[in-house]
This record gives sequence, structure tokens and C-alpha cells, in this order.
Amino acid sequence: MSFKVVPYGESAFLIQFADEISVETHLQVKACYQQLKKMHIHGVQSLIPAYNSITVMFDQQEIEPKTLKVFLENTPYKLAEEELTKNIVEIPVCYEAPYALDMEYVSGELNLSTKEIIDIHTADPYLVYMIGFAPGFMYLGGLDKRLHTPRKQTPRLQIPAGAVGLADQQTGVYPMITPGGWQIIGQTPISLFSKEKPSLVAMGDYVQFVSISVAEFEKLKNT
Amino acid sequence: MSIEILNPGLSSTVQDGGRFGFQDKGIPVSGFMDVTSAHLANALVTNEANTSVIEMTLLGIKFKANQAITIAITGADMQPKLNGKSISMYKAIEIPKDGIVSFKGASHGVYGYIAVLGGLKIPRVLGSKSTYVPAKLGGFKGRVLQKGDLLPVLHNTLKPIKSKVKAPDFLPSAQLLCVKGPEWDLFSTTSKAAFFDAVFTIGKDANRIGIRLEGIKVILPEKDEIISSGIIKGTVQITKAGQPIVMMADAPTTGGYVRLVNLTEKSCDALSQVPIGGKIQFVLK
Repeated sequence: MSFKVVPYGESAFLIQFADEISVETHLQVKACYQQLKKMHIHGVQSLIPAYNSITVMFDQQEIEPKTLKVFLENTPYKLAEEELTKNIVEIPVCYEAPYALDMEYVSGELNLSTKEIIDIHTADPYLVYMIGFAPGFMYLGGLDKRLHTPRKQTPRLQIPAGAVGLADQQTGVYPMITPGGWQIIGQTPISLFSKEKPSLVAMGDYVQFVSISVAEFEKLKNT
Repeated sequence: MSIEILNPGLSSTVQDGGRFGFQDKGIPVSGFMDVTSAHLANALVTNEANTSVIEMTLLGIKFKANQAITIAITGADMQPKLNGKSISMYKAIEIPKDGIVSFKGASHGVYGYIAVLGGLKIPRVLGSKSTYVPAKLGGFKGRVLQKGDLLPVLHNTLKPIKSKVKAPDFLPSAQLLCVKGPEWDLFSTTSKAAFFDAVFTIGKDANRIGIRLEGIKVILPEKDEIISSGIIKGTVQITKAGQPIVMMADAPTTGGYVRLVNLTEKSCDALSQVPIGGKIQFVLK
């Protein structure tokens, strides 16, 4: 495993892996993050795992920065078997009106029927590279090239919570009502973020979208 | 046992030492904007440093104490009054039952703090009482205070500290100490020299998430974006337009702009108190 530990502000370190987005680097980040999390190192307040880095926030009153740096550099991180198994989380999505705000536009733009778009979008699970930007927002990898769609020229002022969208090479779900420029092709009735369950998925999980009808959407929304 | 909000001010929230441990779920840390002032307010009423307080922004609140309480006010000078008479900041003050405490707009500084002896009796959400408004998380009902809110306070019989401490000077300009950021080496010597020579103005986009600075356009390195990576309070990102943004308490957990420097924690506190239009300059520690 190849990484370096660099100081980040006064109370954090950045564990920096290879300068790339790849499954190989992701698995290294994941293994390192999961081991650090399990260790509950006294004085470490928080970890932010990303594509190719982990930010380690600490409390200077509780741990000597030098001690922590040496510890982070010398822990023998291992890629454990169970960490490589796929934890697949199913997310139901209604790809029909009134939830698929931009489906018609995307269909025209990509020269694909609605059914083809749904079939491609639900074909394989997506790897959750990281969670960031907003509570519960997943950075998913593995979008089929046929669904690469440019962002909207002008972002919407309000995108509903649970909206499923496409933007360039990415696909994802908006966990909360926010402004945003993604092309919306559906919506999930389930909550991706709540104070009881801060996130349904964790980095390293896989997400499988499953197409549901409007009736099923309403039913799930009300339960 | 509560205080009743008669006037909520501009954007008043409950904050504490922050919500740590959930940044891997994309949840910002939140917490006090000016940690030094909040800690001081808590110390004056013998609370633990990270006890929840009321944080006021630019324009203070007006509240009624529904029972006798002891408070301490620090941070921005919003000319506090008890029943219409001026009261001291940076000193524990006893508020009698039905006493009305009011504030005005800040004459110096931006964020004002009210610590109540014993603390605020509201539930912790994900380990913290800090309010993160965009996700309606924590604080008082996950939102800014509103007129009519009854904010429960814990009963206490503790004695506050008698002495008054010296108020810091909040100036409309500040020199901010910083350390090298993760992408420091990417920037040219010329770019960095210009950055440290420049006097930046606090732009109108200044809030709990971040503070945008106006002034020179920072010369970007060839690689002007990074693979999304962690953001912490005090990180100075340079946007693709060459504008520095200092990330503050409610900053998103990750971002993709280059990170030139990081403010020291004390400088984050100082910056939080510089109003829009104020001038700042960076100094490498």
C-alpha cells in the first residue's frame, strides 16, 4: 500500500494515496479507513475518506500530532477479505412522471428510449467511492458510457430530496432539497439521510437501483 | 425552566463544540464560529468549554428569563441591556426572573455568544447540540431561533466566577496566520508572493459555511482542480476563478478546489469576527 501522511492545518493529517480515481486506490483507502475507524484512536475526532485520501481530524489536547503521524505512517494496513466482499444496498427508484423531471430531455439527447435508459441505469450495481459534499451524498462510480449526459445549462433552484440524476460521467441521488444542475431521471421514496440514520450507505458499499411504479413509490413513501 | 425568545435577531442558533465523528457520512462539523469567545463565555459561568451556547449573528436577540438565570456574554459587541439598562460583557451576570435581556446590532465583530450557567437543555443529535440548518440537524428544532421559542435551560445552583475578563479587540481588519495547505507546492513562487502581499476584502458571501474574499485573482497552478478530498475549518480553497474561499464551521466535508493554505484555529476565530467589507491579510506562520 502506498501513501504519505501530510499535515493539514493544525489539527488534521491528510493520508494521501495515488493521484487517481481507481478501484485499486479506493480499496486501499477503504481498508485504511475501516481499520482506523475500528481502532478508536484516543484523540482522533473524525475521518473523512475520499477517492484517494483520508482526512484525520484530531484534538491537540488529547494527542500529540507527532505521535499520531508516526502511528498513521506505521500502522500495517491490510486489505482484509471481508472488506473486499460486495455489500449491495438496493435503492428503489421511480423513473416515471411526475418524478422523472428530465427523462424526456435525456431520452432525446441520448437517443435512447425511456425503457432503455431505465434498463441501463438499473443493470449493474455502482460502487460508492465516497460520501461527501452534503449529508448522505454518494459519489458513485461505474455509470455506463451510453448515459453520460451534460449538466443543465442553468441549475434548478430546488431539486426534491431523493431525486436521481445524471451529470457528465456521474450518477447519484440528492439526499436533501438543494439547488443543482443534474438531469433528473427519477426519484427514490426512501430517505438517504435522517438524524436517526445518518446515511443508508457507507463508502465501499455498492448501490443497486431498482425500478418501481408510481403506486409502489407512493406506498413506500407513506411507510 | 426556560428562556423565551421575544425577538430572534438575524440568524441566531444553538452551537457547541461541534459534531465530530460523522464526517464520513458527509455531515459538516458545525459548532462555534468563534471558538475563543464561546469558550470564554462558558468559562465565566463555570460551564465546560464546549457547552452549548446561543450564537448571534450581527443583530442580537431579545429574550425573557422565565426564572432567574446566570449568563455571560462574549464576542461581538451588541450592546446588551437588562430591562433597558446596559450590562457588562465578559462577566457573569445574574438575570432575575422575568428579566428581559436585549441586544442591538454589532458595533464591533460579527458573532455574539450567550452562555447560560448549566447549559441549554436540548437533545443532542448525533452527539452534538450544534445546529446545522441546511439539514435541519441539531440545535433548537434544527433551525434558527424564532419569536416565541421557549429554550429550556438546565437548573443549576452553581456559583459563577466573579471576575470580569478583558474583552478582545475586534478590528475591521486582521492579519491571519496560516500554515501551508495540501496543494501548497503546486502554486508558483510568484503566485504565493502575490497572495501574501495582497489585502483581501470580506465579500458579501460570508456565512457559517465559508467566507469569500475579494481582491487579487490568485494565479492558479496548471493543475487547478483536485480529486475531491477532505475539507476542514480554516481551509483556504482557491476557486477556478482565482478567488480564495475560507471554509468555516458548516463547510461541506469534501471539495475539489486546490487548497493553498490553512488558517490557524485562532485566526479562524479572528476572521469570523471581521465584518463584510473588512480587510484581511495572510501571514505564513
